[in-house]
Amino acid sequence: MNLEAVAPLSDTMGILGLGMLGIFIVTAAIIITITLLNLLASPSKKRKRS
Amino acid sequence: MDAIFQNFSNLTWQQVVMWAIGGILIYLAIKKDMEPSLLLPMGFGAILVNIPMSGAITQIIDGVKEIGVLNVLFDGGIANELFPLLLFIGIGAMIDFEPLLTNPKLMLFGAAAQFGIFATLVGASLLGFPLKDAASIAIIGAADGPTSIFVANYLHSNFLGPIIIAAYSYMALVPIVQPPIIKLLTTKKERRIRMEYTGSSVSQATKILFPIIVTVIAGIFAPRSVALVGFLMFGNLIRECGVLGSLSETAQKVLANLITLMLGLTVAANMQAASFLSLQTLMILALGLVAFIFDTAGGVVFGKVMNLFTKKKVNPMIGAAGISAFPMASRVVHKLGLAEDKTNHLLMHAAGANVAGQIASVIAGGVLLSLIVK
Repeated sequence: MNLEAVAPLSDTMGILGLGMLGIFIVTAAIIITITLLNLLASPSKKRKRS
Repeated sequence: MDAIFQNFSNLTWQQVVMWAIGGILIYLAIKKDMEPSLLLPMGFGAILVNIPMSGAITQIIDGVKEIGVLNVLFDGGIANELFPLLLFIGIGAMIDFEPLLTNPKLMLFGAAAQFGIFATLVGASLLGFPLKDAASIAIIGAADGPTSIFVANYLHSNFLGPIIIAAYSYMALVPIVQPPIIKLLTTKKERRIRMEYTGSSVSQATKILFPIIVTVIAGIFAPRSVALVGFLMFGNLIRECGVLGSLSETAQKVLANLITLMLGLTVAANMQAASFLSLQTLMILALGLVAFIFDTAGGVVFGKVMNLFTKKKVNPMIGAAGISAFPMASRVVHKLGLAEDKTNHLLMHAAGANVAGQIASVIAGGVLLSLIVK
């Protein structure tokens, strides 16, 4: 993209859509990871095992 | 004798206006306690650089270039993004992610509350700002000073000074900006929704693995965010590892204070009257407010939409805490909750959304850069 020029509305709307989608995708990946971490390394589970 | 008084003739009314602006920043820092650690050095710096022929900034005198110390600091600490990144180590060491780790769904509010960034990008472009400046202005909506500095500097924006002032000023003004937007978008009944806090504990292993994994995930999806996320998460790893207590304390206090001090003064190098006093500066301040309003609205509306599909209702006000301004945003939500029902304590949920906003705002900065710099 030409950073020195004014971007047309269609371009900036595209960035809006893709940007929010990108953030939600990364967020979803982090949520899944935290959930897995909590399942695998939860203190209560460790207590049950011992 | 002439040599002593000759500098008076170099003084312009614009420089006097900048002294007044510097004075206002110092007043707000001291009397109103608005981000004093940053606004006070910035206010003093604004006066410092607007003294005619100021030796603090680079000047050409009689055809000879005399290097000013603030320009040296700017080139060494901001132009290469060093100061904001080092500051992130301190911020990472200050943040306790436990409220988020116990309820990972709160991460969604952090994502939704970045809407203001992209909405402002559209607005700034419509107002005629070139893409690099529109994106730099939009990142004020990250509600996160170091991210704003990093992105605006990365894009070589011409408006670094006003952008940083807007970012830090609105962060301090969150308790004034957010409540009317939240009240406008929610009903009394919604503001009274109670949320159960389980308070389940998180293992030490989770706390240690979390910053490492977030760095890897954010780095893979948005590689340009990896420096920001990485330094933030490194600071958090120092905090949580349990064996670097002294380093963690140093990062939280000494490092963060020193960098903040340098950052405030150095940013002022970009507050010279000739470039600062313009219509664009006013437009940037207005667009910064728009960014914070849309951030808040994005989070709250997301909470309302979420309630349409889930059995366990969330208080949509939590969404407003998804902006990065920590801990002001979570305190605002907590207070609004108590104002409606004195027994409804939302602080832990709001704090979870708030720290999620810290991560999401940094990711948003990286995503924005990935989308426009190709």
